[in-house]
Amino acid sequence: MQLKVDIKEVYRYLGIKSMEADAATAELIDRCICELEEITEPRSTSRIFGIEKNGKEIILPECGLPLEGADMYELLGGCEYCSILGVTLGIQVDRRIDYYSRTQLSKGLILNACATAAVEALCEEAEARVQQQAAEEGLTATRRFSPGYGDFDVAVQHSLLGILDAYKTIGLTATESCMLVPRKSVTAIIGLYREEKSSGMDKARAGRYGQCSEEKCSGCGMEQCEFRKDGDIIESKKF
Amino acid sequence: MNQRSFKTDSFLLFDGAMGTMLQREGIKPGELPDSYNILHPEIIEKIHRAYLEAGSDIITTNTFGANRLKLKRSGYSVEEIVKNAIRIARKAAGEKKLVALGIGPTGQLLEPSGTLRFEEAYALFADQVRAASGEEADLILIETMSDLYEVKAAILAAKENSSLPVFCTMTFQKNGRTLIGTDPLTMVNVVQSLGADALGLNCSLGPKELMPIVREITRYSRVPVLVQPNAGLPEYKNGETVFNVGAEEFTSYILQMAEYGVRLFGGCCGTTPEYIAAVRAALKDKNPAQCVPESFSAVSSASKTVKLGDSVKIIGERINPTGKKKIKEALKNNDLDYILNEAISQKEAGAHILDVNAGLPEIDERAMMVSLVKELQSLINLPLQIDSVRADVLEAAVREYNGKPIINSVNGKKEVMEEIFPIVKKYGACVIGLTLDECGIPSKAEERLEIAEKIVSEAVKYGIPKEDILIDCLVLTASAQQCEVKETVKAVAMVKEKLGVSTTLGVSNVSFGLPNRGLLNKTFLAGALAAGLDAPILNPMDQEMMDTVHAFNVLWDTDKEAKNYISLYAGMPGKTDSKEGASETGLHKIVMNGLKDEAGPKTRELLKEMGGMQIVDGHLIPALDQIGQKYEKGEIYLPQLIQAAETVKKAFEVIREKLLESGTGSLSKGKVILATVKGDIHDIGKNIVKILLQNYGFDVIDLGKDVPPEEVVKAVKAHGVRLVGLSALMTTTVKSMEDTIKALKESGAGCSIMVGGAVLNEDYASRIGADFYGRDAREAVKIAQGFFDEVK
Repeated sequence: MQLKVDIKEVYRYLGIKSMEADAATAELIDRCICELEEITEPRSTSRIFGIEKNGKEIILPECGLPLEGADMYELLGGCEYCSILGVTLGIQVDRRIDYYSRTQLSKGLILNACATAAVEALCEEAEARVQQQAAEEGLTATRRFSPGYGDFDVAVQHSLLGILDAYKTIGLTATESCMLVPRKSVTAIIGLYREEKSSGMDKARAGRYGQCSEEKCSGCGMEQCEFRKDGDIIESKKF
Repeated sequence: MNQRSFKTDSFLLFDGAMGTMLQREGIKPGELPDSYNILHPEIIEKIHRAYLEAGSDIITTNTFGANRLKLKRSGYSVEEIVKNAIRIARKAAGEKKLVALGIGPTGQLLEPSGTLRFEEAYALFADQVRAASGEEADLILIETMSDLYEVKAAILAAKENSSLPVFCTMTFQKNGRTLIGTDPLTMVNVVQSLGADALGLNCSLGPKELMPIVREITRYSRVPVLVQPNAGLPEYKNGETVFNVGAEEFTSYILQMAEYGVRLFGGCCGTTPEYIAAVRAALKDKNPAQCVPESFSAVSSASKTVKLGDSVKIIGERINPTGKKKIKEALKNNDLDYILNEAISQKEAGAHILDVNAGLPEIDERAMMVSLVKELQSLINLPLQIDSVRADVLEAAVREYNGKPIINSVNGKKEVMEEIFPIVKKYGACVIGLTLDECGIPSKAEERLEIAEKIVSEAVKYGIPKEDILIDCLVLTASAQQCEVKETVKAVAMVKEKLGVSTTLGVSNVSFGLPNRGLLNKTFLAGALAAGLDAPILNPMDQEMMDTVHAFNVLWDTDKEAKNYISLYAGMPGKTDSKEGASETGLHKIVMNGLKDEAGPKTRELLKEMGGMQIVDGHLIPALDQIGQKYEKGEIYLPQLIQAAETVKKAFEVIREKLLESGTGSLSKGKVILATVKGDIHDIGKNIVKILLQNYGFDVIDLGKDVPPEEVVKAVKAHGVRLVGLSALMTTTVKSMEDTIKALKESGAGCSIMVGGAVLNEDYASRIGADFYGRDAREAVKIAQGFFDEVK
């Protein structure tokens, strides 16, 4: 898998607003991206499940998983299927970030931002594959939605990983406190619906969730999100 | 203990996949297969029987995930699952066939990547092993492991809680390493040394992809090799996972592996009784290949193995308080960062192995050694040499070491050998043997050889192979025992020739008390290397010594085509000019521009004119304030702020060094403890706070990430600290922040607490009992400044 890092995203995670870094920082970013390409082992896995509704609760009968919360209902209520997705850059990335955090913090910080951008890109690739797969079946995909977004409880993390057999397939685990390890990883759910059947759900709403790009943030309930873009609360100010 | 015995001098056949078979029986994704031992024992028994009928000699219990963590949400106990699973397997196997207790990974990553501690992993595995006691399992199969650290915990748990044979397989990726980064040679070196009765690989890949890894393993393994491939690579078809290698093709690869010397076979994901039957039929009338593994001496970290004997290997000696004021200070002040930087410098200078010694009477050597080992192994991949005169320190450290370390040291004294060799054997370490005994250090080479012989033959009695022994013939000083210097060199040659073991020497002792020590050191080193010294213990930052080693490697034909030598010295007419004193730029500007390399020399220059405190208050703090303001105005961004901070840190190091030398004064504006709370592994924010606090003159004791409340309390009390900073990233870990605050308040330690983290705000912080909320690192500095001003 080819690694893609969007420099603009790296700048955003570093809080560089003018989109123009000083020469030293720009060079360090370049070096970090090269280093990231060497050490990263991008892996992804996904599985598709049918959806059933039980009142206001969504259930995936094939794996017996209930998906609780209003946001999940809004995302999947009009869907026939959903795809559960897991992606990771691998453990060496964490280790290298930790190494620089102890030895050259500026580089640690930048590598961390590059890796965040890279896992985001990896996620988008995986998402595109799901979309393509869905299109072949005449289905449309919603945006992706991850545990911790809105009222989708992160406690579901262990179940998602179990369903994906993620430790075995891509080396992805979660701690007891539901943090993904390797840290540069994402799990997500994408709804799949038939245009004609999605009566209560238009594309725009389906698209509101998932990837936090600027126009999406204002619709999200996570007002404390470190990546929220409608205020000045961005990562650099919130360490 | 049981009536069934087995020999690994003939082929033995395990079973195939359990998971694949359970899927056929309708198990759902995410459903716990282990629960079938209770819910559907008849299905499990049926699968076991199918494999036995296909020709398996050994069946593996359905207990891959039967550990406390994975069973937590199931409502079943480890004991009931394990006991039931063994009974079902035994019932199917009857009296003749063998039952292996299967133990899979915990499902979590161990520290430092994850939060599961080594001893916690040990306890999880020990539970599984103990649950099997009284049941009729014939061996323990630790399988599908990716993390060598977990393997070590599992093998120790198996061996300390049962007397059954232990087999162990790891699972490799296409890049030839496990997910966590262990290569095949490292696995063999560590796992066979830990006393596994068979080792090998399973899962992840098909037999074809496994072939090169199988070759590598059979080349080195002294114990029988076990291979359980998948039925090829998984493909996703019509919503189902299918594997692309059929039974016939599978078997053809198995036969090739048998030629490499593999004796134990089985199947993993996708394999069925059909595969096992095909393998059984193909192996009929065949005998295992008689292969002699390559003899090698090597030490390993979790991801790197260093072979001794094929070229000179340098053991870095710097992490040792003897005669080193700064290391002493660092150990006393728990300043692990200083020691870690010492490790990194040695690595960058070309060390292959690092000696670690924490022997200082005024500290808890054992606790310090263990934390050093953990920190070092999380940060760098060089194998470690654990150096202590105390057996309890050695044992505690090698137990937690992730790899195969060197123990420094044993000697010819009977009681020392009796104390140390069992530790060497149990933890599968290498060991240095000093050629001295009850009568001291003999003056003649022949007598030192005699002691070396005694050490080697005694070690062999404990089951320690001689490949794992390094003999140190001991260097004496030319100023005091001039005539004995050449005896050491002679003894090295004799030990090498007569005993064929690896050799080491602490080289720089030789020049003690004489002028121009470097000249004597490098001359002696060259002589000792020529006599057969494999692994000199020296200071890798000593360029002359390193030059000698590099030159020797060319002259002794180990640096082939002088490649390394040329890469180091080509185009380098002489030594590069030192930057010492070269800077024309003022310190203020150096900081503003983040010119890290210039900060040290410039500070040294300034120290000739003014005191350290004057530099801090007159140059560093104003520059920091200015850059901080620029940051707040958005004129510069976080990376520049941090580069400036790193620059200031360099200046501080020089000033501290000066103060330590002169023994006068302190820069400290107050002591602060920082920790990322238990369960949380995201600590970049805390690290930013740390460097800025240090910049403003605060002493920071950094407890790291995933720190339990009790450790924070302990550190606060031990160091008498008044201000604690805690960080947490997620709502799930803010709970643990709250627990930590509560523990601190209840302990009566009387400290104040500031908190920070992505999901916190002023209100939330006060609700969980924090005294201060820092929205960013600059604010944390202001809080600390205000706090200590008030305290004054």
